[in-house]
Amino acid sequence: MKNFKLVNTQGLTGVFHKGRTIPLDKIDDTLAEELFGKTHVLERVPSLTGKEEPPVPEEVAALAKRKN
Amino acid sequence: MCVRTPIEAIEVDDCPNPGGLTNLHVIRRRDIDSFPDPDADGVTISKPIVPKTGAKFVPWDFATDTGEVNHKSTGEAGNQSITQEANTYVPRGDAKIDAVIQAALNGDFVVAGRDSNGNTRLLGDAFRGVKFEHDYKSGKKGTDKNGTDFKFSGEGFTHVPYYYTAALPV
Repeated sequence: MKNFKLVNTQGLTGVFHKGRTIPLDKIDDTLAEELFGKTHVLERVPSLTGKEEPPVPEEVAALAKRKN
Repeated sequence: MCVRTPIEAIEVDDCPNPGGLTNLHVIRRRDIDSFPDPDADGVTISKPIVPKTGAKFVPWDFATDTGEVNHKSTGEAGNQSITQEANTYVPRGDAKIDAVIQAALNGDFVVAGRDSNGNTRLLGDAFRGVKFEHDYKSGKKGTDKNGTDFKFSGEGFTHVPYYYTAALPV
């Protein structure tokens, strides 16, 4: 998971949601997005909001290439 | 103080509507750290139940087609309230199962039952749990049932078993 982290998991092995038991280690970003707010074990990572980083401008990429 | 709510219309649909429970999860009420208030409709809880550290809902398996959640109004006119109940049947006389049964007597529980339509219904609330009862029968002959009827029940509720739409910590 990049955008969330597991918290308060002591003694827990997973969450039961929509008829499925989801082990904590199987929670990925997509699932976490769905489960966020519905469980106390997920916290959104504040520095990474889930938005993709802006693409590197072409000129900068070209410069980096020349350096190498 | 009770809030008098307006009576709304009831509509039925044509969708599939199977009966029965598919899952049952159990926790002692005292192991719950925070029990959310219901939503504005008074019957849905969409925020998560938070257990105390180290506690969780545990699954209690049961034989297929033996799980049910019931609720009904009880009391004389002017004194009506709601009784909640869940029943399952657990096959086999077994030391491990009996140890769980023994530990559950006189317990005060909150129980979550998922029905075949996908609704999770919560029995018990922050202030009042449901009690556990069992009835084991070995049967007399080879084709008899050998197992335990489980029952959770509580009286005097001001609400039906809540529809719980958040995730259960397990």
